[in-house]
Amino acid sequence: MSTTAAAHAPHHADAHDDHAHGHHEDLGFIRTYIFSTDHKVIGVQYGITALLFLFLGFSLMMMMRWSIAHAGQPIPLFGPLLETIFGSKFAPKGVMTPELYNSFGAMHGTIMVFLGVVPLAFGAFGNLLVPLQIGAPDMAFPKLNMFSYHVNLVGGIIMFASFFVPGGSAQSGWTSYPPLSVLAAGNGQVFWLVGMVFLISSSLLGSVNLLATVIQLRAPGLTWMRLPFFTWAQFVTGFLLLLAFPPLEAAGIMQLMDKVAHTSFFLPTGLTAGSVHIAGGGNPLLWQHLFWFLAHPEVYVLILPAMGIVAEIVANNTRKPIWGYKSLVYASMALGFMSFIVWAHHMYLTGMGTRLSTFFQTTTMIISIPSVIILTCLVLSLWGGSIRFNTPMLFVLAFLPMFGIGGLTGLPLGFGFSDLHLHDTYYVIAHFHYVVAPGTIFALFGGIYFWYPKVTGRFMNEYWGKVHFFTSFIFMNLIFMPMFSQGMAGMLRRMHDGGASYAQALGPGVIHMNVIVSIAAWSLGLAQIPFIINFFWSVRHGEKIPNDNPWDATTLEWQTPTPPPHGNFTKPITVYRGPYEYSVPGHATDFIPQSEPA
Amino acid sequence: MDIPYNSTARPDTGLYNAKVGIWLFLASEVMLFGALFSSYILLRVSADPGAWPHGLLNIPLGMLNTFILITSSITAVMGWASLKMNNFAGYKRNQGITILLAIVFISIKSYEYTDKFHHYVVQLNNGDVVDGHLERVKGDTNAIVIHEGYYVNKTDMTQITHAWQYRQIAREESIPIKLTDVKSMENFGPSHNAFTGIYFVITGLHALHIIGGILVMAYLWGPGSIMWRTDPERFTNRAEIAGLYWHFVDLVWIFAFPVLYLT
Amino acid sequence: MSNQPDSHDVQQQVRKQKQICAALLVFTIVTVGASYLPIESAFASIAIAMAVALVEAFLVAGFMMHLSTERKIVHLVLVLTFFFFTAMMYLILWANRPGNRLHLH
Repeated sequence: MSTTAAAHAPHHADAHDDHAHGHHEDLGFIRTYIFSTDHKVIGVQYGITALLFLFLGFSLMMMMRWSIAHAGQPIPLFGPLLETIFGSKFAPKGVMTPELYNSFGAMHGTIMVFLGVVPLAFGAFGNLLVPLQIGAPDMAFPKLNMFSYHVNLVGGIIMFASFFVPGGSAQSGWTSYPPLSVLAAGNGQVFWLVGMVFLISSSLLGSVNLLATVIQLRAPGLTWMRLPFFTWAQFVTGFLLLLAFPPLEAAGIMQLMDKVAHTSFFLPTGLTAGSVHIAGGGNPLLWQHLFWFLAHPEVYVLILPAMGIVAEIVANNTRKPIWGYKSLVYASMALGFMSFIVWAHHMYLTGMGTRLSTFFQTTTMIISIPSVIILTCLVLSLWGGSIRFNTPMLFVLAFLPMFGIGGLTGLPLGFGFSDLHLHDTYYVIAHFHYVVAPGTIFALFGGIYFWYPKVTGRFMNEYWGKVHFFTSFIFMNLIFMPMFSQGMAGMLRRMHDGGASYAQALGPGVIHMNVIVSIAAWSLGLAQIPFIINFFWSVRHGEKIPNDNPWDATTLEWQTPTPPPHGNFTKPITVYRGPYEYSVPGHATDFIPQSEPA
Repeated sequence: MDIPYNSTARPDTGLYNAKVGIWLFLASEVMLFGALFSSYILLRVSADPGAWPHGLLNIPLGMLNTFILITSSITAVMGWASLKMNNFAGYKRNQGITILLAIVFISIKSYEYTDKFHHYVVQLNNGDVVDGHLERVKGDTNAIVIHEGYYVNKTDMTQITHAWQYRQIAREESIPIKLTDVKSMENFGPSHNAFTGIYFVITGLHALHIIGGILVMAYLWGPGSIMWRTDPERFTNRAEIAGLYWHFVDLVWIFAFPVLYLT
Repeated sequence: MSNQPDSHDVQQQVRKQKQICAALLVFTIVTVGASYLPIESAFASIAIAMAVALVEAFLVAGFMMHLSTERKIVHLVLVLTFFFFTAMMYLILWANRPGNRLHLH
């Protein structure tokens, strides 16, 4: 996936005389790479930007891990740089102050979720692959697509800029709970809020585009139940983004007003900060409700595209249809639907009564059912398969048990009585990182290795891919597995010293684990180097693919030239089959493309 | 490269692309304003007795604005209908009226906002609290006059639960006040209380949507109208889509007006 | 609507729209008038205002936005939306009831 992919497009288009729409005019660099309306270019733009932000978010965490393991000590290598950038108030002599830790912590979460995973999973993979998988020439609204990316970019720049405003970036967690977020000094929170407005708007427009595309632009013969599960997953994700984000946008506007216009939407009566009496009448819990109304469906936005990627790679590398396609489709719809009515399981400790808490515990338990159905179908899909253990497959194979751990460890959090003990501890961090890191991100890595050949015409290096996989897998588990026991022992989140100030209560074992976890985190960072090098090196030097369908896959994106030209398909596509016709008995080849006539 | 179903309807869904797109977008807008109205309800039921104002807003002006918006919705439909009947001049006229009415709406709204910024509650050193329209006295920097004012501390605000009760409070035409007697004063801007906060946010966001609609309709009326000559069907669809958006903005006001002004 | 209706059809539609417009203006006067009535119960006055607003909303959505004759998929999206909107509003308000609030004393 690189910008050189688009450079190939006009040349390839030239080579195909039967290309129906032969406008090959040279649009110039700006309109080809910066302001392109081609979904593939936009997908790559989202992808590269997202990977950069993932790297930034990860770097923030690597520095936080130093503070957790060795609070008060200057950060080696990067300490002086921190002091230069953030000044001696935030990083005196290269030591991370608690304020800087909080700032990095809030931004780590924000960046990873809103600027990393969602743009990569939905913006990049969704934009790049959905039109191809449904046999469409582009998204329904190409100009809107271009606009959406740039709005996302502006949001990202605003978020990045927030580090450099006086007072630093937002420091009240990615959750920005008031009153703290409103009362915290400086303008970082304002930048966060404005940045969020841009990011949310970008997501909204992107989801309108994706949903309209899937509804309207499916190729003839591509009925709903012939859609690849990847497209179904993106479709449900689109609905989550469409309907869940606006309340957070409303809340963001209200918090912005609280900060800038001194309203009190979220500040309760009687609150004083120092001796300053804050106008009241507001409700801090209102923010929590509106935030979590988005943020819970948001986590399904994080996981669904990953499940879609896993399904595609599993089917392809087991040479078998996915087990339980219909179950997968209906379960993902049920998952999406239920995700809107579980949000207050993030708020069990806000004083809610038993009836309300029972309601949310019930819906939370119910939502685990479609989740398990999806995981079960994917696992059962392996049975009897002729498994190819290539790099993409390794990543998605690991996804399965890792997501299982992440999901199962969510259960004690979903029950009020156990959440009482575990809320805001490292157990929560372990739970959600298992789902997102060796869960979603592994699936995304698998997807990158899998679809890279379609975009660039070359494979990524298989040996270094496996090195990347095994090292990442080991270190991710070393990072997050200990956190379960740290959390159960009572270690709280968002503490810059990793609980050292109440070490007597936690016990030495818990505190010493911080060092192991930090070393594992830095090692995980090092483990990404082969991937980064591989990603760029393979564009020019990777092994060339033998044909346009190097994985012998059935779905439509593999029926295009490589890389696909503007308009994607050189001849009109009609779909005759389902998406996973692998190893059909009696057929000469072990796969039949969807567009092959019956 | 042609995107299919840009202007013609797709057989199984019966819709063209932009129609699907605008309804999806409007669904998200329902959630956006829905969250704000939910917040309104929450803030109102949580308010201490007497702390939530009623009748603060100018009902005749609000009603006028409602008339204006409803009329503009009709002219928007008539504009689209004119295009359907190949009457471009009719479209220009009707769409033009829509845009003008929208501009009048915004003007009235900004007058209302300014009016609120002149509406003050003044706490005096002697414990009196005066509520009314503030006017500075020319030539005397220490003097202000409160017009149509009443003494909040002498009124049982917990009894004022309806706009008509607020109107019945006895008022004095002008109450002169020396600034040196004033402990503090605040206008009815967004930060004054929860009601003004949510009022400014809901109507402010609504106004931004109106301005956005004005920009889109003005584009279609002006530079964008050249598409009528090259692709009349697609242009008509654009007018329809803009009309749907405009009706939604009207819909939000149909709820905002009674909720904020009348109840 | 990309089918080309004949001029008479469209004129029928325009006439209908004008009637809807007139109805909406009348309802606006009704709701404003109702707010001037000396009703004591806050619940009653809110109920009246909301009832009129809902009727007006049905007219605007059903006829001016042609929702009543719109396709199934649009209805589906909107039903889903209103379900989630209602759930959001109701659950937030339920969570705010005294029984669900922290008792600090």
